[in-house]
Amino acid sequence: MSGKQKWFTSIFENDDGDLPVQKKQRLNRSYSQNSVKSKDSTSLLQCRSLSGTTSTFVDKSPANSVNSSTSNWCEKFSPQSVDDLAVHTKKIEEVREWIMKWEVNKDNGCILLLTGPPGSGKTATVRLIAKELNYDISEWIVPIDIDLNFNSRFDDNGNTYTEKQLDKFCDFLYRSSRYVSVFNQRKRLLLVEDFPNIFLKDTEKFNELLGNYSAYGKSPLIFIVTDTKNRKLDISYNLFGDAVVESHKITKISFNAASTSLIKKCLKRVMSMMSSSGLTASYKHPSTELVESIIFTSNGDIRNAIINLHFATQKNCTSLGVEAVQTTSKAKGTKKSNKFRSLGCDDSITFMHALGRVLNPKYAETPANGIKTLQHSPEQLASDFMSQPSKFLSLLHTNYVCHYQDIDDVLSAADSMSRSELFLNEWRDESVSEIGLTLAVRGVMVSNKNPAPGWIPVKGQKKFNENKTTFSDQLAKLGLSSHSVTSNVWASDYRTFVNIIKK
Amino acid sequence: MALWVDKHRPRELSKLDYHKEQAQHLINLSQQGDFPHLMFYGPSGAGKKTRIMCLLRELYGTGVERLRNETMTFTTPSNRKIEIMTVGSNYHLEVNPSDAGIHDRVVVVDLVKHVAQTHQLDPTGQREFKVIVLSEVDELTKDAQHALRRTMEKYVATCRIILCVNSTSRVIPAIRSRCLGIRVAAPTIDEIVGILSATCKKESLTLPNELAVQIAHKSERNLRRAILMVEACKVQQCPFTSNQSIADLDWQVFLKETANQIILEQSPAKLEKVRERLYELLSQGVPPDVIFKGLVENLVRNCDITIKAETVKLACLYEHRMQQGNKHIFHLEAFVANFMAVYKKFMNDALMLDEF
Repeated sequence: MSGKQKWFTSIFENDDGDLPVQKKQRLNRSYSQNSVKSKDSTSLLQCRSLSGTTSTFVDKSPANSVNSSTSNWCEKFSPQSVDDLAVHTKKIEEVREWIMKWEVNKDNGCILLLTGPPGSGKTATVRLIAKELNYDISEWIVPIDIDLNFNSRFDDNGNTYTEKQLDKFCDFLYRSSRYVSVFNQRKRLLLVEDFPNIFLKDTEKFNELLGNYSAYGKSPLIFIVTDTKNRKLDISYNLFGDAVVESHKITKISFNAASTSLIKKCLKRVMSMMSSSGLTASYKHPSTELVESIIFTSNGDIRNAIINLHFATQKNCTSLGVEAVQTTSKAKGTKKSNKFRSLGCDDSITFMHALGRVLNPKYAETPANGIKTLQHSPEQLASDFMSQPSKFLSLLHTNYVCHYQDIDDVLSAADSMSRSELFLNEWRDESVSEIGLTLAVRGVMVSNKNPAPGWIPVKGQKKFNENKTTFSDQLAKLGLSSHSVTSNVWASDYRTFVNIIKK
Repeated sequence: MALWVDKHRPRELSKLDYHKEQAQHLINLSQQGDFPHLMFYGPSGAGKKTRIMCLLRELYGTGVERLRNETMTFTTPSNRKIEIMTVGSNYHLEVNPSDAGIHDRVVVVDLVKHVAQTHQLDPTGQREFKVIVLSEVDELTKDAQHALRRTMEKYVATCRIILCVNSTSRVIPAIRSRCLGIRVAAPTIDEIVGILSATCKKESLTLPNELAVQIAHKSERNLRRAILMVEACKVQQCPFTSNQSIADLDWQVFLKETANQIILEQSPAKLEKVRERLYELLSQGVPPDVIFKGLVENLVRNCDITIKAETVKLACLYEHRMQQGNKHIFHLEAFVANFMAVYKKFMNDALMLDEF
């Protein structure tokens, strides 16, 4: 079957083997080179291979052996057993228990929701447990490029139409939970990682679907949702509200970012596999220092760690790479803070986190000369929030005063705030606002010589809106509208006297 | 019930009580065939709007007094709908574009376009242009002012713009140079006293001269405020007496209290309380520069002569920044923090001296 172009697609064929090997390799390579972000080359491949078929869902064979032709390391060195997972054993146990419980008692809800930061091993855990418990995974993939010729249906009048994504999703839930593959009679598990976009707008519909599924579904259904910082995009918040979780008996398991020791273990495994699979010819064995910096840079993202490992070890082999590695090691700071400058994810932090760092500045003292330096550099903090500088500044302004004990310290902070506000107001040059934000952040951090002790809650930005409705109401009552009175004039001249006169 | 301010507002240029020579110039201007863009500037309550309305009447006749309120909707590039209240007649349209906040640019441009694209119905009997009155132009963002500059030029054939501003310093030079500036200075105390007495006579009341002078002083030469004060006085005590009490403006009282609190205690905790109070004033719509001025006046009145100069110097610095900046509270607070530090240092030094 492989290597030969087929002229038709069998409807029983739900394995992605029908793609020519040559093409697959090419796709694979270009994919892993281009996108570091994306996680799973197979899912994309399947999308592409499926573009011509009528079926929109795929069965993934759980037996995923080491494929030496793929150059995506995440896939090549994907964990082969549950023990290989870089996930806390408790979490693995929770997922396994849920499936086993479902087998025993089907009334107890057949929907599981897995949440967690990217690269924490959610999908891998599901895959391996399914394999262990002898399940076939049937995953929903949003059909991205629909070929009109293959996918259009004919309605009663003979006109062609394309099936709606929503209908397809319903189909998927209904059919794949009921009808098992003709070839093997294994149990089936549904996996949804790729949410049809329509649900983000139409949560009602989603709720209805879940209700239907929990009533009629015959297979366990697992949703995997990656945590996001943006509330609007947070699927677990928008689609799986408390009421939804409650009414459909959804079990929720949230994964944490992988710990340093787990990533270390995982990388060790990858390295041992590297040497055993004969990759040592083209890849160098990374030094422990390098591995440590990879772990540091990854911020608990295993996928990212493996990709970085791939990249970092690859560099060693060529003559150019050696130099490049030398520069990266130079770029690394001392001690723990050795991280790549040009590699890996940004250490993204939330507003509140950054605010804490600014308002409670921590100093690190170098023992040699006793000079205190700020642990978090103001420039770094400022540049992290360059996308919305004025919001950060307002938040800082609302909260900074109560962290001070001495008015003399406040004075310089207030001054730099006021200066910074001017800078942010300058619209002619982009870079000015960065200087402005740095000024405010540094001003607040440095000037606080005597910080207030204890925990101080962060206050939200002051909502500042003038009460315009009541203002025009009052005007209308008095019949004053013949001359438009602006709100400023109303407040500064009219209000007091009008109140007296009206009485 | 119309307030006295509206009831006794002069409707014709020839009936104005002060700046009579200027009124004559305006009459001459309106009799000419052509007419430039105008910019009326002067302090609040000096009579800018009154003069604009009189001028419009001179141009178009009594038709401009048939006013109607209209709510216009504008759509920003980000698809946000903004509603702005306008007052207008067949010949003119009056808007306060700064109501739109940061979206004022859209309002200015769309409004002028909207008005300018229709010609006067009957150009033979009327002027061939319409007039747009924009108030509080100095509150507009720089962006909007630049947009205004361009639109002013483009649609000069069908519409003229009359700007009403408090301070020309906040209007960009490009706009200033395109307008004929007309300065409306605040009336003198004597003029105010005269107007107040005349107003009371029309209401068939007699106003004691002492009270009139007192009110004129208290109003800070703001005629609108003065007339409102008289009316409030009338409500409080009907036959006027020369020593009756005059109601204070509530925000002035509030500001004075705030200043006293600053003098009483200088600490970060107090600074936060002061900020709350300043927010309160700002959210009621008192203009930030008025707040700043009032605050400085009250503080200077209460502190020692040695730090007065320092205080005023600080005030100058932060007021300037406030005018250039966008978030007024930042600069107000920075000034208060600075004053607190200066005052505290002065008090500590004084204590030290006492001990010797």
